[in-house]
Amino acid sequence: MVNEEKVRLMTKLAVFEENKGKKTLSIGDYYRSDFISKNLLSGFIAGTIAYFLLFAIWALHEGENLVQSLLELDFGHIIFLVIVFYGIFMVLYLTICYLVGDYRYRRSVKSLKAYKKALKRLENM
Amino acid sequence: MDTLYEIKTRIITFIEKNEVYVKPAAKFILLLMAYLMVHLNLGYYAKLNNIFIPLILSVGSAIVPMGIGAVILGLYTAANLYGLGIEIAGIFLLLMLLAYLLYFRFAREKAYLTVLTPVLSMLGIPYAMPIATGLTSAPAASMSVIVGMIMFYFLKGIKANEELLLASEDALKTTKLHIALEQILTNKEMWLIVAAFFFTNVIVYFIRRLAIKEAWKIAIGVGGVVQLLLILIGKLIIGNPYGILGLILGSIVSVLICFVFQFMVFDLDYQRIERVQFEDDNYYYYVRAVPKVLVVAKEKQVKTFNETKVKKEEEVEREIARELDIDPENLK
Repeated sequence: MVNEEKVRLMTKLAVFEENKGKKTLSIGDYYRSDFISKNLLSGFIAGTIAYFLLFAIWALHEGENLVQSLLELDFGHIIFLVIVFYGIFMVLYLTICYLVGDYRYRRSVKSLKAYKKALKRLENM
Repeated sequence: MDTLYEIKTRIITFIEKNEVYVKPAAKFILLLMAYLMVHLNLGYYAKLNNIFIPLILSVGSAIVPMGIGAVILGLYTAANLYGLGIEIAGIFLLLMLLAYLLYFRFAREKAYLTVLTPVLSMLGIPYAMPIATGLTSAPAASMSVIVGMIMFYFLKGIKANEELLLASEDALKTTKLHIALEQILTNKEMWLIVAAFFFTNVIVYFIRRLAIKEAWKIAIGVGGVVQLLLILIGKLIIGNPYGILGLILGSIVSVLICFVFQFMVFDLDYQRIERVQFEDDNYYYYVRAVPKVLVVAKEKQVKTFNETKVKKEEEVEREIARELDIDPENLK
């Protein structure tokens, strides 16, 4: 005999696994610190590439002026500025990465809790 | 008003029931419009100048996830720009890469907004975008609209300079590069629109979250007016008073569109038909879960009591019962 309530619960769980659950369950494999570190590491690589692309756009646009100022100004001074701006940019970018990672982890922990509760109920049926 | 709600319910029921077809069809129409706009306005690369290419690509892009579809559209655009010079295509690809690194890494699913924004810009109603995203998403989603606007202004600037770019075949490469970069870095109007869109989005978001009556409608009205004023004042400050009539008309149409949009999505608990398979120790289950609204909506249609309507109603019930594989009595 098919247990209707069981089918209802199993259906809900299966729908969750098919849709939202895919991502949530994969995040659930990580510890919070591991998940955020992973996010920060990929953020560091992406941020660095983005910064140098932005720098390239600026440098290409400035072109002649840049060469002029390189000749007039101290070369070390310009390198120093590039590094300082890189630092500011990365702090901002990594903060966003941290906040996004943290938010996603918290949210998936919440739905995982509900999911596990439902699994437990299913087990006891 | 009741008739309007009935129409709304019917449309939503139709979408829920036919989601498998409606979603790709909507994607196809959006992408087709985008591809055709690129093809007609930026068809600089002779080898791609064939109407079947955008047609085939829009069909292909409609069946893959929107993020990938948007990338294919971007690559097609870059290939067309290659006809003007490798520098122009290169800068466009650079912009795409930057957009990915800075934003789409976090929100790939919002790529459709980035495609929709330039399409609406071409139609003269981009002003609906920041209001509509403010109604449905967090302020971060305004980034998708902003990226779309930057792409649009870049391409518009390239189009405006096409003669210069085509003529400078033998000129120094830096000239083309310079023209391409000018379209983004020193385009005051673009940065004005970007700032106005961002503020509008944030304002709409915060007003619609307020615990006041008709928050959504107030948000649309205030958002529309604030946006129009910001752009008007900005235009006067940067000394570019052109296109004000288009701006006002576009804003009015955009606000009207947003009211229709609000009517359609407000209070919408969208659920789709789910098909799942699972098993336990004794059985394999192949379940088709149908949202209750689908059934309730049909029941609600009983309004007047004449024979044909009641008969029709019974037919509908029988049909649903057959689909659900249950006794029709259960629906009464």
